[in-house]
Amino acid sequence: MTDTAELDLLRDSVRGALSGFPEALGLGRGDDLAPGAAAAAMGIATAQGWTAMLLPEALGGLGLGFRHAVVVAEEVGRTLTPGPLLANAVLLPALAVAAQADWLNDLASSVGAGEETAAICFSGDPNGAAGRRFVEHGAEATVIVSLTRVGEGESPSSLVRRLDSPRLTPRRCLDPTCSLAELEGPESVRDGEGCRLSPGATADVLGAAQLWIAAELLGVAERAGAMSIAHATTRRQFGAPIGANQAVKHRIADDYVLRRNAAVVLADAAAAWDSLDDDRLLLAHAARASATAAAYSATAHCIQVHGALGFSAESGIHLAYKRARRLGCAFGDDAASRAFVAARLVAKTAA
Amino acid sequence: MDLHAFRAEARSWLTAEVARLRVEFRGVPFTDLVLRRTFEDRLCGAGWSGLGWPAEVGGRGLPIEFIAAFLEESARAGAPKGVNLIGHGILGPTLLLSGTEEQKQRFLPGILSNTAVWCQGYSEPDAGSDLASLRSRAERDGDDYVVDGQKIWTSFAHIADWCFLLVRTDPAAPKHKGISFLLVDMKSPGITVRPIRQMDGGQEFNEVFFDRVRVPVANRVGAENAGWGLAMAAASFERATYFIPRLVQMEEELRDLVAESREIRRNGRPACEDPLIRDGLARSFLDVQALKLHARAMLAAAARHEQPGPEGSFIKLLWSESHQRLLELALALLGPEAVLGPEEPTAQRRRHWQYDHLWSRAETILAGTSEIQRNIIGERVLGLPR
Repeated sequence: MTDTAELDLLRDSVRGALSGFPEALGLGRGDDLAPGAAAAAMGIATAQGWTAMLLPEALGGLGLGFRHAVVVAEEVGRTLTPGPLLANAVLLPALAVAAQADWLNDLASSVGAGEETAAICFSGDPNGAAGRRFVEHGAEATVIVSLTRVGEGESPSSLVRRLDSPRLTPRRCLDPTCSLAELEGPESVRDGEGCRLSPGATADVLGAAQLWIAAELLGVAERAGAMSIAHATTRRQFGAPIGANQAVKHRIADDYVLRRNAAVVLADAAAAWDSLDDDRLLLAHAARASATAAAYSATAHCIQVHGALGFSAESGIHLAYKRARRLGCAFGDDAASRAFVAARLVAKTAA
Repeated sequence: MDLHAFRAEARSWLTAEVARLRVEFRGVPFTDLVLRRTFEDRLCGAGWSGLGWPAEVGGRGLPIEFIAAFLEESARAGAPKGVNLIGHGILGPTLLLSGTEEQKQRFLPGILSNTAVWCQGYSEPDAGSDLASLRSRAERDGDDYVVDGQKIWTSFAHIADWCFLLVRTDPAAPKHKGISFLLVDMKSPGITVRPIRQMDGGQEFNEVFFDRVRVPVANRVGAENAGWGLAMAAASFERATYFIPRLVQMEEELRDLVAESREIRRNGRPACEDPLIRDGLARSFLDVQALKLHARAMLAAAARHEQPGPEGSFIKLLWSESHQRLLELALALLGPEAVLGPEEPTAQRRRHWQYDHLWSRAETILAGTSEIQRNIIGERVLGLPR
């Protein structure tokens, strides 16, 4: 089977598995996220093997790569599927590989098998001195892991630790498809369940996050783009579909170009990641920056194209915009990714 | 023939010839038309023209990957652009597809040897993006057509030997259905060429006036009133390879720009430490990366003999607009030095950024404006209403 055909099959199966979303979010009339929606999504993820996808075979995983993972992530984004997939399907396997510590291996194995659900708090300081600390899906998780940047600059090292009875306060998330908790007070670490990651290992873990986030953002952008096209084709004003106006048509065309860009840059970055290419970190950050541009633009234009309908909560059009904005500031952002890319470019000319 | 060996042969020929040119034309910019013609003549003389044309008309019958490799190597070697690209890339393939045997035998050798330079008589003062509304007339008179009208933005008309011309032969027909495709000798009585100066200091395009110019009916390509289809087909010939040299150039420009940013100082520090400059460099990298991957996919599709899709439209849009952004960044980087006009030599810099920047303003206009490309994407790719 060719590579593309295999990925197409995977995409079809992910679409089938997630066909209940976004309706199952229960957000149709502007209400809160349906209780159990995130847990249901994680149940699907475990049953489909997505939580074990990136986990090495030695830890009971499937040992697949990012060429597969980004297909899943794109569909998760497109369908606005909730749940801590980034933490469980991507970051724990990456942390386990990076840290080579028994406690992390055990945790990643249990998560892969669906026995535990983790949430990960990423921050600049373990005790909150560097700003408030938030944990996506912290309230539903059975395990809270803290990943803390140590040192400034472009190549920080980090601490990864399993927290003991963390103090979590529920907060409303900008993105209604995500539940959020704030971590307060000093972090107490479970005995023996903490380790330090080198700058290289930290960059690898964060790089993996960039690829997943890029793919989810691309999916969100695809969703918003398709909605804009559908509305611009059917909604009539002044006797013609609004998409006949260049002011509308050209925005939609520009968004399409941004999505196509993000799609090729992401596919290339995922392949580079799996083949351990020297440029894999550069390309992962390039993918994140490209996908963020595509998602910000498509989701904002989607609201504009829909007019007042776009601004109403009932329509659900705002959900893609809010999800893009949440993903946009998770584990870095587009500006940080471009800074990373520029640093590599400048360093390369020196070499 | 082995692609690897072909590429190596092309590279060594190009490197040597570019070096020779620099010696012979010391101090002359590579945009100079005499320099460009000289190089293109040599290229054709050495057998690098007609790479994809069939052997029976004097071509080399090579597949598209070879043409792409030659274009890449040309751009890497910094070879000057030709002055007869329209003959090699548009008219030649049109004749191969739709010309009579007599027309092929008469016109193809002159293109291959570069002894006949061609220009393309398409745009008119009232027919730019809306090309099909062109009004230049050709009326039958015995074995001739008599052409009256005006063309504009005709690149290289002032040095061209021949012109292929779109003219209206049936004013009563719907606008796409009354157009014919004629081959006109530029030495014909009744043709006046008026050069138009460009904002980059160059002078490539012209106004061309036709006053009762006689053109033999035998010089019509395709059937009478079938010219629009030929022009549309002609526009697709180069689609798969058009961007290759441009993207290689852009990639090299970005590399040079990064290097300049390390050397140029702003506020007492290397410009590459300025976060805004860095952000601009990263954005250009994202553009170049996407373009490279799009172009690779388009070339692969062409190698599989798939019909070119409308992808060319978004690559054209993205290339032209991101190229402008890159060259705007170059000027920002130059700081006070950006004030120098394109005529001033800038030997201490890696490129003639001021000239390239001015030229880039043409790129969102020529070969289909950005507005037209967005319409095509909206209507033909995404199915939005017209």
